[in-house]
Amino acid sequence: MTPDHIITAIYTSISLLGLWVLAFWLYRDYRVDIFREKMFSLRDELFDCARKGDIDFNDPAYAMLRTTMNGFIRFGDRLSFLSFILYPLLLGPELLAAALEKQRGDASFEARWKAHTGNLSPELRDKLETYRMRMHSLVAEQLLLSPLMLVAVVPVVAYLVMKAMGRELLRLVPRRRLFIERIDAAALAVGTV
Amino acid sequence: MGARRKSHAELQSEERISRRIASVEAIASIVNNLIRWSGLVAIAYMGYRTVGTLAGQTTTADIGIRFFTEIRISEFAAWLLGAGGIGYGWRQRKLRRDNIERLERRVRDLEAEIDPKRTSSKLTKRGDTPREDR
Repeated sequence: MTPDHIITAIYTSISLLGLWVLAFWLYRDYRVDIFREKMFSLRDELFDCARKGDIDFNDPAYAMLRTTMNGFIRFGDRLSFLSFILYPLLLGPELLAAALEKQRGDASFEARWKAHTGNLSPELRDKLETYRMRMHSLVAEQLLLSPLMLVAVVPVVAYLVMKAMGRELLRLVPRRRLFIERIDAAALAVGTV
Repeated sequence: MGARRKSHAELQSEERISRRIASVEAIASIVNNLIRWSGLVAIAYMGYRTVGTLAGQTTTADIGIRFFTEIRISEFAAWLLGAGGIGYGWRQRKLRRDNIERLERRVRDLEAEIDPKRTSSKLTKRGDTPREDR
């Protein structure tokens, strides 16, 4: 090994160390900040919607959506692909029960959401559904752009999705809905507790 | 009017849930930290192996050593770090301005309700110096 090799190895080590700090420290914190900023912005829009009189501040659908957003803002720093799997699996039913302690029964998040939005006008219901969809988009973006996903999982998943594109991709759609419902329930619970 | 006292069963349920939350967070934290720190360990280990070549313990034929001593990889990593640093700084700047824009509007609206004659610094909505002041 020549001195040039040693110098190159030192430079490579320093650069990789810098990239490691950038990905797992700085970028990670940045992702949390931007996720919260976007969620705050969405919550502000929802607030303005109520301020304009489109929906009452005491409406259960408004309260449910805002509390769920608060939950996401609060545990935004813990929102990772791993927690995305673990939270709904291990906490779903119990946390939901605690969040809704004053109400009886064990209705799912989706059932409650439908019950709360059922009495609203179709226009307002669509509006709230849009807010909810945008909330989900932010969560999906946060999960997909987390450092670990970006560095390790995204290339592998992209390859697998491309390979199994078409029929397999469509098959996942109903399950996605169930998964989203569970993560909403967890966020609502965290926002309430 | 005071808040309703929680029943013993409700308190027990809350305690059980809190424990579950702590467990999930602990598991997620351990796995995430394991993955994160393993990157640093890998870099340190390869650095150590590279130094080991000086003592003749390993050869430059070792694939890890070749990776670290390859000039093109070293240059690529340096460029990636530089570009990543600039991109990070630029995105942070954008985030800060987005935050100013979001808060400015609300502060302005709320303060205007209290003081309709409220004056302004005349900075832009994103906190920049106005074009005419430059």
